[in-house]
Amino acid sequence: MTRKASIKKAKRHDRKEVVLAGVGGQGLVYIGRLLGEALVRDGFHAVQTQSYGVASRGGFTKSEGVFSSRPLAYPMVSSPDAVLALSQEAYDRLAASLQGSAVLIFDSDAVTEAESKPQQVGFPLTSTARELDLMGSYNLLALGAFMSCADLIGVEPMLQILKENSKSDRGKRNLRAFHRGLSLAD
Amino acid sequence: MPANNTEFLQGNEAILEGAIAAGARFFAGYPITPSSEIAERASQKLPAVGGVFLQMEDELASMAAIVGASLAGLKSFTATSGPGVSLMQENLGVAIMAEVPCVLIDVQRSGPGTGLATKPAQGDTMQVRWGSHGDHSAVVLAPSSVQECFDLTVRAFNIAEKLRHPVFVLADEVVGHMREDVVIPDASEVHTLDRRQPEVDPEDFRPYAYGDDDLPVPLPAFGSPYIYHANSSMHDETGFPNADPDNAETVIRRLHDKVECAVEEITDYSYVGSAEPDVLLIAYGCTARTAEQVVLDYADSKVSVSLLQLRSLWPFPVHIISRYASGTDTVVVPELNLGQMVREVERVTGSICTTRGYNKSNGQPISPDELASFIEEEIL
Repeated sequence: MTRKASIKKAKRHDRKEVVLAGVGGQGLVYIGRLLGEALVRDGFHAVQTQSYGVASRGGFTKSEGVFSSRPLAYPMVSSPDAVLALSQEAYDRLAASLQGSAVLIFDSDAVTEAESKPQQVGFPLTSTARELDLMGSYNLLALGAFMSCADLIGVEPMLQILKENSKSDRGKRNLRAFHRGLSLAD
Repeated sequence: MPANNTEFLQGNEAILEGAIAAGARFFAGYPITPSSEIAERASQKLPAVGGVFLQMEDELASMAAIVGASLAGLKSFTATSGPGVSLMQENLGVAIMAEVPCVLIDVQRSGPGTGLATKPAQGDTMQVRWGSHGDHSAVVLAPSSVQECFDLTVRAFNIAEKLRHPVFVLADEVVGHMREDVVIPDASEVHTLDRRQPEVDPEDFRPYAYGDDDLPVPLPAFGSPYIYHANSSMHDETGFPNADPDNAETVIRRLHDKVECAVEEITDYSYVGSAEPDVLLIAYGCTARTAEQVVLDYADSKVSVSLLQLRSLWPFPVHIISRYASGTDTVVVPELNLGQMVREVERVTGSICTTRGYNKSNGQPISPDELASFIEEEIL
């Protein structure tokens, strides 16, 4: 018991954590995977995990990413540096526990802010995707806005991956949606 | 920085890559969350290398099919979760008694019953050890990372071939589903053990004889000139029934000893932290990643915490547990169950130091902060 006062845990330097959250079926696991691929291509160690229910669509779903220049121990998020919230439930669950300089990017068409804060930024992601006839690539639009706003890693490796995948019509739409997402946040 | 040939794969995908690299060419299974990606990828990749993917009607048939395929000469495997392992236990016993090499992947989810299908647990630690009736030993490897998913699956096939015994890879939902950077080596760099063939003439072949190395003789394929009776009833070296008590004792002890005497060779672990810590964490699977984070978090503290990560669970590495427990006052075994491995650890450490479990069974992984709080509040 005498030791207790001397316990001082090391800060987890050189470790970044992101959460992409919303509703099952929005493609959150897919963009989490793309993010991880881009990070690994950029020379980072990365882990992506996910949490979802038994339904194929609907219900709270999240995709978590952790990355570092060093090998990672705990693969899950403890205290996110950046959060993407694409549903009210995702926002409600994650906004309250944000710490320090963490940023939260949300779909203002789907989320009503509990309390406006400088580190929370909303974009009309659903209506933008509808206007551009890109609802099928809504997740990529959101990823573009998220990456531009959170500014945790460069977008070049992601653009490279999306260009490599852009031979199909879906790939082309994904690339277009990602670009549009980036420009939304400019 | 990761190497150039680094990929970003799921644990389940890396398991399948490991199986193919090890030379497996037959998969039979019945998809179940959280293992389904193994079957999915097997259906795409096995035919491309001349292998066979079979989706069976259930897990009983899946286990029967991989035993049959192995007897026909192919390295074979299945993938499932805890509920599927329950159904495979009968034919698992056939594989043990008939000494048929094969690999079973168990990606654990929260149980019992159908439980929480998409959530992690470590509730099968004892099922893979004792599941199936009768006296038998088990070989179980437990990956904590996507890289270990690949590496340990390769090893599982090699051990299965050497011992002519079914081998488990015990993953969990976290490890199976997480994506992580992993290096899939070139096939030429992967150590594999090809199936050996008998050196005796077919008429002199005894399928259940043991060699000078105290291991079963090579297993020729059905359809070859070597004709034999694969038998899960009590048999002698010829494969035909033999109820003589001396024979029965010999057979059961051989099945037991070939695994238990290989404990030092099979044992795989890593140690992180100082040699004589205040607290030694002993962990496996996804929980080892939590424990490693706690070790890192306390790296600059006056309290020293170290990790003994077990990559092989069975045969139980008594020699390693006792060696490292000798350097500490307290061992903590965190598990996503209500206490399975901790009792086995305590059997070894009980006379050496204090042993405590940290247990959780709500479908959520153990976080580093909650494990650290337990250590600070309950141990120090």
